[in-house]
Amino acid sequence: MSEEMAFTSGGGLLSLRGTLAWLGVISLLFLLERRRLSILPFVLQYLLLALLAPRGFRPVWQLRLGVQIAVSIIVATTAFRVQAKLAKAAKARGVPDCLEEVRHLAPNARLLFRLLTLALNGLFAYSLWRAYPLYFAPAPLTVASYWLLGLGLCLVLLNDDPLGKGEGILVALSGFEGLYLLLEQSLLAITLLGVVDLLLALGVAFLAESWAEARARGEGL
Amino acid sequence: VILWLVLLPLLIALLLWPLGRFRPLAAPLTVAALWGMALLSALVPQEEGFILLGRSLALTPEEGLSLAVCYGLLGFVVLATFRLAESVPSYSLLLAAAASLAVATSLRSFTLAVLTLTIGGILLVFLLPWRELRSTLVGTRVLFLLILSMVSLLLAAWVMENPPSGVEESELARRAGLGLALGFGLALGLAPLGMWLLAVFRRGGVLAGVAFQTLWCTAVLLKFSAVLQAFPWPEGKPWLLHILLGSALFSLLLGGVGALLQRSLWGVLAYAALADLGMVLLALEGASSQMAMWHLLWRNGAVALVAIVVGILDHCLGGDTYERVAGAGRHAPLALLGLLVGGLSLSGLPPAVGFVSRLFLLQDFAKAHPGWAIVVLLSGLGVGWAFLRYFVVALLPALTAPRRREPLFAGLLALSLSVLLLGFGVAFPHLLVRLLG
Repeated sequence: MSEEMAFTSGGGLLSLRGTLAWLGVISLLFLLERRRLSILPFVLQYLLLALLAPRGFRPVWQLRLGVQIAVSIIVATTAFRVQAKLAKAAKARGVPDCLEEVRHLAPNARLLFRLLTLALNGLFAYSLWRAYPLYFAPAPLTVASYWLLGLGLCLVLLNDDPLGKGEGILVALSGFEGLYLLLEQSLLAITLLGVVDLLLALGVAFLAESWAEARARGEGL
Repeated sequence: VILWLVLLPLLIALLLWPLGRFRPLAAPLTVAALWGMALLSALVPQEEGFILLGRSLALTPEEGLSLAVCYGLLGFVVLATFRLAESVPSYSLLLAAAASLAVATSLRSFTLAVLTLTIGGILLVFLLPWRELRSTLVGTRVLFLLILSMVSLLLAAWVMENPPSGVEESELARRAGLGLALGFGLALGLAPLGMWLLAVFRRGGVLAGVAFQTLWCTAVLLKFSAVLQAFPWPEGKPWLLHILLGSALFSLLLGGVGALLQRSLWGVLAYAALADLGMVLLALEGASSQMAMWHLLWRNGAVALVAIVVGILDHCLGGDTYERVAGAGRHAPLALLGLLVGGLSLSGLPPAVGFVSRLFLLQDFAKAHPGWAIVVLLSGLGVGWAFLRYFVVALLPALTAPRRREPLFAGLLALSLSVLLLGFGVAFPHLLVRLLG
């Protein structure tokens, strides 16, 4: 792989500008905090990574897309169920659901804070790529991976419920995998990484549902 | 045999899936599977290895024995606690995790071992009690740290398996070494790198706590011990390794002091286990790896024993705080004996078995690193004092009436583990000396 690859698309199907726009959309969708929409940013980020795969890697990455769609479905289903449980409990108590309650405290300040954090993350990812372009990865893939890693960590820090934090862990992991799979090409390792993805999604679902049930019972209020 | 070590628990896990809620059948089947695994890993360790999908799987006698003890202890814990727990833990997932960690230990490829270790760790998270809000938050934290540790270790593994040669690459190796130190530190929950095992013990209940503290820690330490020799450390290993050793020393100190400050037995046990884990890590570098592994085995035994005891006390006294534990001498005498033996062993005091292995390690430390020996002694004193205080309080008259009588079966199991830990320390110290020597 040549040094030139660090500044070109390296056979990926998207240019750097297109990648940045795509990443901006994903960040905005995460910013919305709409649990019912949570499948969208997940599918978009996995699709983005599949499109950015260098030519030789494309078949395996497309196969991985199947696992990642399953992960997205698990997360989306969990988000629906958590929302429903909290809403039902809140209705029974006659108060807004506990997360919405927090969000309504200072909605504009909260939105602005999250927007600034995510914008800083984008800036950080871009600067990191300019400072440390990786010789083995095409430019758009490097930026996307750095961005998703940062975005995931931001989500872990910004959320206080297992679902939000879990989504952050999954996003950060997909950012890491975007670069790592260029280094590690063993099929067994890729399969095991897929199993880790799936189990992690199930773990997040398990914890998020348990959390919602505990909140619905009134714990921690 | 290694194949059976993986297939046996997986087959029984599949069988248990529909029986999960039926405790009287699920628990004995799980115990049978765990003890079967213990037998398989102890009796037939293979140096030569076995090739599966082009990858070598092998267990050294040391690894086989360490895993066997963990599986045996987990069997004990399942047997002792299946009637005590309010919600049924998923035994199938415990068995799947056990299988995954057996694969991780036997895989010679570090990358694949890290991935299977992570799979095992994630499966163990499912054992956390799902009814409590705080345990779900602990679970999320554990998942995050497991993934962080996996990422660090995978990067280090890549450098290990593709050894660098040039000048620039030695910088890469140095960074990967840092990843290795960070990854193992996070995986073991050392202070100040995560310390998540403390929270797991406090919020996770007996089974999850023991599974993480024994099986998980042993699998990670076995891998660490193997990697310590194989990693291409740039310009010698000291400064990278010092991160881990510093962390181990800090864990020892924090464990000793933290145990003193706890107001619940779970807290004391969690800090005592952290301190002992720090000592095992120090021993891996400062003494022989064989001796460190022997100490790890006794530590695992003592942790399982005290965890069973806390489960019993919680069940019959309704808690494990000072106020609740008072009167345990009368209402739960078998558990109290277990607490004494387990506490002595974890703090390295005679006549329990932890004393003998700790004495050997102290001798080694005193020769090479006298400062370490002092820290180990101080930490042991802190842990010993914390356990002793609880023991004395337990002998006082009860402040509240017990909720239930001491469960005889669980009490007898705790007694048998106590006898085992005392037996090696009192009756057969020469046998132990021969094993350690």
